[in-house]
Amino acid sequence: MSKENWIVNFQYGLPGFESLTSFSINNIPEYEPFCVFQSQEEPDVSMIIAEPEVIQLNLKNYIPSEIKKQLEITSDSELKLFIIFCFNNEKHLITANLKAPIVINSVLNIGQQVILDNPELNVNYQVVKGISE
Amino acid sequence: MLVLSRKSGESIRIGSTIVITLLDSRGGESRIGIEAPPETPIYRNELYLKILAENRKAVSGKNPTTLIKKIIHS
Repeated sequence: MSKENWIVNFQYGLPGFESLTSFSINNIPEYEPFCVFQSQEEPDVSMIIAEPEVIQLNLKNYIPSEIKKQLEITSDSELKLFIIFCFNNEKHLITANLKAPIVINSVLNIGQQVILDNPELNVNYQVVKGISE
Repeated sequence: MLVLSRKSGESIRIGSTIVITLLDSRGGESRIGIEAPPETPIYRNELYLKILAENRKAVSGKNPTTLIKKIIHS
């Protein structure tokens, strides 16, 4: 699925943005594989996301079957996962939210942000520790 | 906030499909049973709020392109 203005519907919005149900995913030119995840209703609400493989992580096995059922995902090829990145320019710190990935059915273009129970998954996993330029 | 008092074993029904039962209470901690349709997400609130805060942080960070380069080149 090409990540060019891919529109995904989030029935329940996201924690903190419960009223926003339509988001686009677009590649960031020159910064593959990172994408912009942007609300169609409130364009100021946008985040940087990427598939977990960008930090050598496979989260597919952590997704509960109940979630796959709700998103009508019947095969792995329909399942697309993204993690949200947080950039702290002052501290030169990048963290990734492994605990609440974005789970998408890439055929029906519906998704949810799913909160995973596993204690080993960190909400602010340090991708790049503070490095001074 | 609606406040109700319940004794152990008593329940509260929310809408037509969600039932919350106080199972037992001991030393300031209570076990609470929740019956709800399987598609209803149920979270410890502090965890939900943690994700909410993290999402808000992710939105507020501006212009991350130099930092993205660091990940790509590692």
